[in-house]
Amino acid sequence: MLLWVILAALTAAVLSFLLYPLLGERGRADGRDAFNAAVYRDQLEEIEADRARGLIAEAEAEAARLEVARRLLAADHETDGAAKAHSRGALSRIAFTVVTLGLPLAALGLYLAYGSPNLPDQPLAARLTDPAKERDVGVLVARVEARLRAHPEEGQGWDAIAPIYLGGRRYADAAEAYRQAIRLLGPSAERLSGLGQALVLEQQGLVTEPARIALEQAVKEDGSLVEPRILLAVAKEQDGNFEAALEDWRGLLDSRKDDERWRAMVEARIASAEARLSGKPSTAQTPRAPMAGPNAADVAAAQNMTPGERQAMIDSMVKNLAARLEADGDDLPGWLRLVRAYTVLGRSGEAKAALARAKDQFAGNAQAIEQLDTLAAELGLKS
Amino acid sequence: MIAETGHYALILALGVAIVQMVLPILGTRLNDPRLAAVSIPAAQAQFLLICIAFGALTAAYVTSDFSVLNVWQNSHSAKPMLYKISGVWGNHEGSMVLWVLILALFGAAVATFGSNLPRQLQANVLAVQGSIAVAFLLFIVIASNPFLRVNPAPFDGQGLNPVLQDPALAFHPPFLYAGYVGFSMAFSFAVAALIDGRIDAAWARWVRPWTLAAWMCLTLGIAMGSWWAYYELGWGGFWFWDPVENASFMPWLAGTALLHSALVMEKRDALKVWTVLLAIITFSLSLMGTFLVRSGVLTSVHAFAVDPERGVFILGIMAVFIGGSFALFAWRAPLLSQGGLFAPISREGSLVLNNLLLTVACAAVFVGTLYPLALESITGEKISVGAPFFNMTFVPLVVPLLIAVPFGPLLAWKRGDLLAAAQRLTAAAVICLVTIIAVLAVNRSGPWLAPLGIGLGLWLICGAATELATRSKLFDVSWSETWRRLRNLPRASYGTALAHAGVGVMVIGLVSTTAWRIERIEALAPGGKVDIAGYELVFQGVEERQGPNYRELAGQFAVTRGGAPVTTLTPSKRAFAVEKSATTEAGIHNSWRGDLYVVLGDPLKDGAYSVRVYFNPMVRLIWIGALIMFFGGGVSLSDRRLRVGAPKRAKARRVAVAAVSK
Repeated sequence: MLLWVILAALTAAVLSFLLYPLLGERGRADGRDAFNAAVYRDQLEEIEADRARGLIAEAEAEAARLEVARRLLAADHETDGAAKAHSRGALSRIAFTVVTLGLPLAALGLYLAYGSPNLPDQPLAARLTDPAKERDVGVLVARVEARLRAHPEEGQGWDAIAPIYLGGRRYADAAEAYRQAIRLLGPSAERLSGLGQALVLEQQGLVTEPARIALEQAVKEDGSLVEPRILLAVAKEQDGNFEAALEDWRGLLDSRKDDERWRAMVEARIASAEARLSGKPSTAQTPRAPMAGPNAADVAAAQNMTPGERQAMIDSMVKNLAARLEADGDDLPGWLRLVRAYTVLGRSGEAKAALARAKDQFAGNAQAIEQLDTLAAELGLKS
Repeated sequence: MIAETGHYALILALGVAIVQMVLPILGTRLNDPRLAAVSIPAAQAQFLLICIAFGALTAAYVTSDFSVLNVWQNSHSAKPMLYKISGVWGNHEGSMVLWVLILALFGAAVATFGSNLPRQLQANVLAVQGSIAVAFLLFIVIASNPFLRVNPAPFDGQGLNPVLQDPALAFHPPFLYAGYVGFSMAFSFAVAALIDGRIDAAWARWVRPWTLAAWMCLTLGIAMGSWWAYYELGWGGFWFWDPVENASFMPWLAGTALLHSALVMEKRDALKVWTVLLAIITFSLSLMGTFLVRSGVLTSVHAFAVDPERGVFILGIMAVFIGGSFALFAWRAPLLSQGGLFAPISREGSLVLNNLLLTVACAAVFVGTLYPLALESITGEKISVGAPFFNMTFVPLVVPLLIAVPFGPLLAWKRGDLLAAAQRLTAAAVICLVTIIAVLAVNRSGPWLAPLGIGLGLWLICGAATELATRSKLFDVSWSETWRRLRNLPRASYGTALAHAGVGVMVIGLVSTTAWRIERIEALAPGGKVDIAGYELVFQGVEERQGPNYRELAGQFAVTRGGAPVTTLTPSKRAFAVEKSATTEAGIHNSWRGDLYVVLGDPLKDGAYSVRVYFNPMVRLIWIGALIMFFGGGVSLSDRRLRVGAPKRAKARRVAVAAVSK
């Protein structure tokens, strides 16, 4: 409403300022030759001043004076014959009416065609402190980013935001965040694995040298991690070393026999590698390595969604994850992701419950408990 | 609400511009002063409204309001404040708003300070300014609207092209636009004169200072752009004859010609029709510059907008204004009265020579810039016209012009004495010859033409000094009398001398950098050394650093000269995460001898980096020269006196006139 008041006031002010001359006295005739004559008189004075200061010689001054005087005479002569101008009341009234009605209407019409009068300003600072946006993942990310810009030495912040970047397909940012977390908090299997994944995804699946180094270190820290082992096997395939890759794939299959998520993919890989080794070109497309979190198509779809739809997609993904863990609890990264997801979504009660369930699941596993505790500390979930 | 108010103000400004275009013309045609008088508040209101719009857009950038599409596309919350503000005009839409803002500023100036103009002339000028504003405001609202919104607003912007995140480039467009748009003033006056079929005495009094102001801004704008290219693009080059550079250089050449012909017109009431034509040509070239850069015809850093709709729109604007004004010229110019006569050898004559050479040089640049575009659009063949073409065409035209420059101010108005002027310049010529011989003797290397180029630069500087010496009658009268005359000289004379000397300084810089530049490309591991131009550079390694919105890899180079430490240079490569691009920051050490210029290249195997090191002798003089030209223009502009050129009378006539006046 305030906007319309401002726009109306602006229009009224402009109109009254603009049309003021139309209401004024009858315009005077334009003595334009008088202006010319004034210029020539000024020029004559100037010549005189120059002569007095000794800048031009007497003879030159005389010549210049003569020229200007001739123009002055001509101008004075024309003034007598100048046409007399006059304002006709009717014309002014027509112009006044047309502009008074036409200008606001035209401006309003054009504005309604292009403007968005119902949309308030949304400066970033206000959005970040708006409690109504508490549940908005993007706002949370932006808030952490703002904090990290002010305090780039806070490792926890980088550690928390890195997997979110990775899930949101911001691979370069994810790699950078993992790097900072590793620099500040030291290398851990999770971080190294995340860094490796981010680097690989940034290069559209190509396992580069820095990525391979990170992934190998991750496996060295924690041999049970699946993602780095898959990517390392892929790296060997990319090097053309199918024998070593095959060995890796078989090893993976053995160690995670009951893990339904990977089996189909690993078996397909084994088949394709064997086909390669036996000299037959594989007709089947090599399947892409599945990644933690949503796949690329999901994320691409999320880009074109309304906030409501996006929220629904996130909720359903979280629900699927929770259901899967309910059925098969032996997946530490899954639990960690679930706890993190609940926290990011602002559902801290459920996050705590999931944390407790995970602790029950891994009761005997000190390393797993430690990881869960670290995560809880990071996310402020101390119960 | 701020953004929406700005949007509405912009649209209202369009409406006001239409009123400003229509009513004053009606008023002057129908002899109705009341209608004509509307032009004044219209121009002022238009300026205020565009100020509101520009302010609203700036506010959206400063507060990172990503619900404004334009802000989201071109800004980022992590950007430093300076670049948030310069981001307003660092993109297509915002830069067009800046364009109309400057246009409206000039219009408001005519309205507010034009009380010494005949009412009819003022009304016509403002109507023409109004019509330009209508065209561009319509273009902005329909095809380049910066106030379009997005809902829901994204969380962060996409950032500004990192190459443009630079102080020199933050202020390059405002100056460039002030130059381009400033020439609209001369254009409006020219078209107003054609509509009226007469040129008032006040015409040149207004056109010359405004042209001078526009020319100053354009000079500075071009110099900033070239300086930026020098240190940011990592080549060590300062001028590439790139179409975008030429687009700003052509109005400058035509504007320089206009400046000189307007001078003749103001002082001597001559060259009227030619000045009107030049005013039209200059602004047409400005419009073409805007078109080339804004339409995306050229695909380079500058062509942000790759959108044919816009190109066609601007092409339409160009067609209407250029075609319309030339048609008007063809139709109405015969009505304009011819000005005073003058002999071929005279100050006027020398300025005509200046105009001829400048316009032909401008035509050479025009052909070199547009021919490849025309060829590509007709045959699809892509050719590139580079420095060789311009060296073969532009340089031979400009060299005689520069040789002639010192003669001009020494010739008298109406009829001059070339021999006397040459005699006065003997001292300058001797100094130049001696210098040329000395440079030849000292510098055996380099092209043999280079010493002549240095001589040419010095000739311009000495010529400018000679002019002042002649005017103050140095050595002819006592020292105190010379001093008195020097103090009494109009500031315009100092302005002329400074501007001409500035050209000389620039020529020296151009010639020495081009002829004696040294270049080394080395693969350096930490501890590696390069020797160049008496400097020794030791590569100490690289380090990673975190900037506000980038990460950089900075190389450390310890520079020593004859064993004594000089400085440490840190050229770097910056990686911008948001924009996903990288820039090169050269490490530059300035001295009067020249610039030491180091660029860190790509990492090689075994920890080495490819490193490019340049020594650019006296390269600073190029921009110092441009600054002197700018300053000279300012000095001349501050001279508020009227200008009348006293003619030299013919001997025979003097007797006759004397007889008559007795």
